[in-house]
Amino acid sequence: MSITTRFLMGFMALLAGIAATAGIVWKQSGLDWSAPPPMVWHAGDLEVTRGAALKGPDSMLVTFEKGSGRILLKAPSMPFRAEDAGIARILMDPLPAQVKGGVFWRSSEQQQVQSMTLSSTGAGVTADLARHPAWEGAITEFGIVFRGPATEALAIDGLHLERLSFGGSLRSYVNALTEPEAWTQQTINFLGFPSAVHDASSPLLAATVVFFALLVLSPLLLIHRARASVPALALGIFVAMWLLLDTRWQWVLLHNANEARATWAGTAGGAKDLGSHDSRLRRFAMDLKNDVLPPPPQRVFIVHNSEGHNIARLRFQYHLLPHNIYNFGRQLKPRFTQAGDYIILLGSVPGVSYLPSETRLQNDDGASIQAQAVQGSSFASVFRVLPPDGKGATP
Amino acid sequence: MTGLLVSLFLPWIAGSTWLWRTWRTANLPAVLGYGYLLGILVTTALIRLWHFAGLELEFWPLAAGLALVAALPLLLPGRTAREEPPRPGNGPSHWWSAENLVFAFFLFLIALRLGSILLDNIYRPLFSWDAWMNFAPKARVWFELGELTPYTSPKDWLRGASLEGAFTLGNWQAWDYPVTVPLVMLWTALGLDAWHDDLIKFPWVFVGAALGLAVYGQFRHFGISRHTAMVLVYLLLSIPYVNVHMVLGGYADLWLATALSLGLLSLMRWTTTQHQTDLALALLFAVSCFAIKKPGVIWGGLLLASIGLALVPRRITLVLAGFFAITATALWIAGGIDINLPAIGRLRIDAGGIALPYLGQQPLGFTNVSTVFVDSLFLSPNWHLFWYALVVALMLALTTRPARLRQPAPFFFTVTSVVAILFIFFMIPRYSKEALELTTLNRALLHLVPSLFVFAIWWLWARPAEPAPLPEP
Repeated sequence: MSITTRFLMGFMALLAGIAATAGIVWKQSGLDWSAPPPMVWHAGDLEVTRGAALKGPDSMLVTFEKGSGRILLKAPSMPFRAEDAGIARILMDPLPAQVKGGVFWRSSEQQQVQSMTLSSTGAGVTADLARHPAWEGAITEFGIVFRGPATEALAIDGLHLERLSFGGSLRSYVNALTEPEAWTQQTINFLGFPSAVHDASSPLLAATVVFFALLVLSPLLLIHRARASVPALALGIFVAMWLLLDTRWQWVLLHNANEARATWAGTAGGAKDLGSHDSRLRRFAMDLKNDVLPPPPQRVFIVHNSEGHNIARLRFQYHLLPHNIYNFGRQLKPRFTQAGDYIILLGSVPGVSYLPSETRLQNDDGASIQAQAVQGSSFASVFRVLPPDGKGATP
Repeated sequence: MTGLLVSLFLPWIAGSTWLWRTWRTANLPAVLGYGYLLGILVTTALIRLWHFAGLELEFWPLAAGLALVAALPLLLPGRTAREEPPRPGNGPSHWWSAENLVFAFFLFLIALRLGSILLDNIYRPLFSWDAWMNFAPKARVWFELGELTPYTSPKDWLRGASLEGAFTLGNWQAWDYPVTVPLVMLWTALGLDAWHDDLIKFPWVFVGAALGLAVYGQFRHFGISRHTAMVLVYLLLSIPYVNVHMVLGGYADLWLATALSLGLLSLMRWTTTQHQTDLALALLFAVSCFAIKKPGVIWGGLLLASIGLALVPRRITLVLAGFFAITATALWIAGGIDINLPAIGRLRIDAGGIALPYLGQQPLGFTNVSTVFVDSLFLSPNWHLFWYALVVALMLALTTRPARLRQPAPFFFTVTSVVAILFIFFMIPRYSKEALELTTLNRALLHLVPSLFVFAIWWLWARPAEPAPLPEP
């Protein structure tokens, strides 16, 4: 069998596999190809529970509630089934830059209020509800929320909940695939994926395509002259589907590398941080290292109102290296501290108080340490441990 | 920049020169792949020796020491023509032949993958938890203070009960994690002469490349054609979760996975060649697992047991298997075992719990985590189609090549390691919880994935000829 013939046979089998898989997915989804009409609420139907509204015949002008800075609109006529509505579309102009919007709902499955951010693009102000893991069951409450400055007013014409068609569902799936996931602190443990499309897992779909393609090729095994080509064809089909999955993954890697370049290019390798909060922690740690703490390794106790793996306390410890740090607990350790040690209360630590007149740090159980405050900010308070007689405090 | 390049390539050169002179039947890709990991392990050992000798941790003197190690094999006799791998094995072909185009296409994809990951590493600082919480702090303290300062448990740190001036970590359990990974970071930082949160992750890209080279070289030795071997290496190096551990470097898991699979490949090769170097490499990489990560004791121990199995005659194997089966049954009937092994620790196994030296004790109790396993293996995007292919490949191998079962050592390793991972996640509640939270399941699977990959290919594809003639690299 020539290489061209093999290639064409493999390609045809692959197409047959894709068609068979698509057919099964369509059948399983129970969705129609074309979308049924959406559920519609006109502006006048929406109940304004936060903010002030000026209602016209087809539209309403809503201003933000003073104080909370919110607009809250609720849709009446509940409940409906989640699977009958995959996309929420707010009929309005694109959101102004300083306004953030979202939808919220309560369902029979989830008593807790769930929410999802609205995306505002040229295609409208929408939320892809089908991709939210908690968009399920009977929806008993549904509404829209905006946050923004009191000076803004939003013109809203209505709300559409568009029922999913098979095409729409496919579009939602493709949208999910074409939105590269940024690395998170969980990525090192597993790669996440939008839950609502999880049922249509990409590896499972690819494996199904390979299965059907091989099924189509299986009669070749009965033909003596073609039998020898089957392993190469099977491997080719398998690799083709792998390549398809891997093309997306390659794109995600390149996208994230580009994001990394945009975020950190031009910053020295020793001065990079993981976000604005981490940046503040690092700057504060650098100030302490430069101006307050003696040369390393200085014994330092970090006290923070948390237990276990709290990112703020652990990142702060990392930025303070190479000082010699103990970083556990919500309280002081009077039995184990010694004169000259430093104690840093990171953030608000309710279990510890400082008595300036007595140069004393005290746990809420009464145990205390003689210590002098050496640095204070809204961010953290730094103390130097004094001898038990309290001598050695500097003005 | 010079220091960085020296820190990255000198260990590679050192490991490769030794292997090129001593592993005389290996092809160049295998020498380079094994050479990198060997070189890095030698470098970490050299840093420890340097410290014990009381010398200050300075890059260039250490690099000079390593260069000396790299130069020593040049005193050994070179390869003779007899030992050179035989020349062209695939017959003449034009550069535009289908095989060559396939080879070049997948080589390009691998280069693109490694390049993308390297690009990310240039800019992104240490990102994931354990990297900056457990491993980098030790390296950073050692780098800044210029010595391998001791670490102790938080409890002992408070009491001042152990070493004067000892440090501890912010994670209660991490202080006694093996130091190979921090030493790799330290070595790169010494080369840079500054602490760079980004560039110290470069070795994680290199170890991925080394894994690819080693697997390619060994697959060629197994008689697999150039282009097929390249496709297979691409499949391994494009598994998303393998890439995650290269792009978000700083964890020990990829090093452990690489050491384990290289050890297993050497064992598989030894079953056909009987060359002492293959056996020595299998032993070396099995033992190195102990120094990389705590669970390496389990995987390295199983690999050592498999090597032992390969060394003893089959009759003795059967006697030993019978002895272990009877002993295990007797202990089970007696309610378990609980003994203190001098200088090793407590060994306790009974229905209520398990205590292993070095790994600590854990209660036992069944938790059904099968849904998480199926989800992680077959539905999540972590592994592309790897687990589907593995199941099919093993079924095909079992039906078409049962004769391979006559070489039981690789099978013993694979079966026992899979049983071990299932036991750990189904029977130890702490790990069942971690499986349900997806914190450690994929990382534990990663330890075995390259090994399972090479095992399946070896069983299904490797030429049974003994010893196999070496093809062109």
